[in-house]
Amino acid sequence: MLESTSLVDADRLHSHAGNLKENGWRLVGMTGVAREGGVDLFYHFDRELKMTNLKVETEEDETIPSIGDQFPGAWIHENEIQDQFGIRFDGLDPDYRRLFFLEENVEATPICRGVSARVSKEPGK
Amino acid sequence: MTSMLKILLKNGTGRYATRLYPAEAREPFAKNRADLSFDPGCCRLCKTCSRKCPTGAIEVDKENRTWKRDVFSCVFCGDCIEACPKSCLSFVARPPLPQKHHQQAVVYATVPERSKK
Amino acid sequence: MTVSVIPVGPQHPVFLEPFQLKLVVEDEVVSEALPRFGYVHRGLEALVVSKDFRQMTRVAERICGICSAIHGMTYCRAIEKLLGITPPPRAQMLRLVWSELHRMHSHLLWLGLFAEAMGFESLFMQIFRIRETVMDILEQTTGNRVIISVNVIGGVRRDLDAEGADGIRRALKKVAGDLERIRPVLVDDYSVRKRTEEKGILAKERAYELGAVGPVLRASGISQDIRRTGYGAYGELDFEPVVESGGDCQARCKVRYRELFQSMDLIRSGLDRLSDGEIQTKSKEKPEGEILVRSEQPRGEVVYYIRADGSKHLQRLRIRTPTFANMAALMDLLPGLDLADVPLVTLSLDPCIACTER
Ligand code: SF4
Ligand code: SF4
Repeated sequence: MLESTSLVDADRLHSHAGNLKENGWRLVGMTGVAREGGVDLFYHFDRELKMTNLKVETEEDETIPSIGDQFPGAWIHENEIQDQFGIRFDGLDPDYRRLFFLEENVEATPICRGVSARVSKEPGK
Repeated sequence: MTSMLKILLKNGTGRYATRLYPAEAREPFAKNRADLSFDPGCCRLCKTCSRKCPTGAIEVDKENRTWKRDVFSCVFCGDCIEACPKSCLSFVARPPLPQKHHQQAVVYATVPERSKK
Repeated sequence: MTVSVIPVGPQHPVFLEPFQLKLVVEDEVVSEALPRFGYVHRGLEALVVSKDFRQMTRVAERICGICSAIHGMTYCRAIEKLLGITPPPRAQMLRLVWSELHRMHSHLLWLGLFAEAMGFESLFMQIFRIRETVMDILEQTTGNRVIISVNVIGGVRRDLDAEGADGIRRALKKVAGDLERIRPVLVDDYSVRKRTEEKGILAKERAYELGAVGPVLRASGISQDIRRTGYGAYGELDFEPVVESGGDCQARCKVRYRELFQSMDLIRSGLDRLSDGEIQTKSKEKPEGEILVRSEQPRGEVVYYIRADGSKHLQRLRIRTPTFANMAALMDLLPGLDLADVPLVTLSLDPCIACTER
């Protein structure tokens, strides 16, 4: 478990993020990690070189509220997560609809393949 | 305004900043990673180098006793050099000459048979 | 009033890497900007499934050529923390020296390109001539000019002898003299000031809110430098972040120019404090756990997130690169600018697209 991380529900995310914003925290980035049946989303915040994290455990096909209205720099992180894991963000602006890094004809979610799809053992392939 | 002019005048009258290559070439630095040399004499075909290589550039064939390195895949990281238990590999400071054919871009060596003790 | 949409990029003389800006222009003034990425996306984060964690060091180094040593160092620090090992003090100090040299050559590259974007070709040549000195010491001490591959998990793999250290000191003296000579051109020259002052102003609060990092944030008057967290050997050295208050292109230029001298000071005191001893701690363990590690790159803060489950392969590697964070600030800067200033303002953020897309 990551240091100073609090687990929050998706519908409480907005109020938690608002709290952090009021206390002068800055959004550093977002990380998505695939697990069985969903994705762990981390929101990293920083204030005076200290970090704190929010963790949201999403289920498959769940829509997460965007925190773009509180942190105006969040759109770029959310668009990337949307590309990589296919998670929908509610209220995302601008919304690239999964064309941020990907081409039109890509259907798959590149990183959300779970542990089972891992190829291994063969060196350098 | 005049400060740039001064620099330019100094450049115009001073020494060249570049060398007239190839008439005047600099010696390569001693620590350069320009080429990888392989000594077939000491190789035990243990495949450690090929396992450690991040780009999969080395192929070792135990049956035919060959050791192959694809020069175009190699990124000169040096992981194989550190991994080799027999220290058969080392960096050479002088870059290789341009080659005419692609086949020459593969370093191919047959490892000699050793008499078993 | 005519409204037109102008695509800038993916191939544009000022952007060295492919990325596209769609600008909605009213007469000559930009009213909206939308970036388009994906031209150099290589999927390096997904490589963790096929390369083991030691081989990933080499991949991390190649995310971006310009900050290669610092990417490598950050990745190694993250794995070292998971393994519970600490590199010996000499290795830490050598890492500092090489990363600061990297910062210098990155800032010099940026200064040169900035001069070129202004149309000041002779200044560009002059700065690249200075940069060549730095590249030469990198090659002399490590064997490569850009991707120096010195970081390994547990320390560094190349040692620095007394002769090399002296070479660095001598080269730094030369660089300092050369830089001093171009200061009046960068700071006082009439045409340079006309081109850079009051262009693309990023206000202090707005910069913080948008999550800008590195020199962009410091040029807006916020003193934030991840090196102050004291990772590696940075904790032993004393320094203050370089801060300017203007928030415009000129301030960003000054921050990077002054950081060059700061890096030189750090290298010199680093070389003076270089202790003798080992340069590598070996470990046969496999990493396990979750970790978040940050470093200061030439372009700002980089964040590595790693999750490992004790096997040879990592489960997830996520890299939040500095330009990725600065993109939001850039999109905020562009509306309201004259079309002629767009390339220069974009470049003043030092965008590194290879980093952004990984
Ligand atoms: S130097 Fe690196 S890339 Fe080249 S063969 Fe050796 S391990 Fe592979
Ligand atoms: S070169 Fe070294 S590591 Fe590679 S197969 Fe031969 S003995 Fe083994």
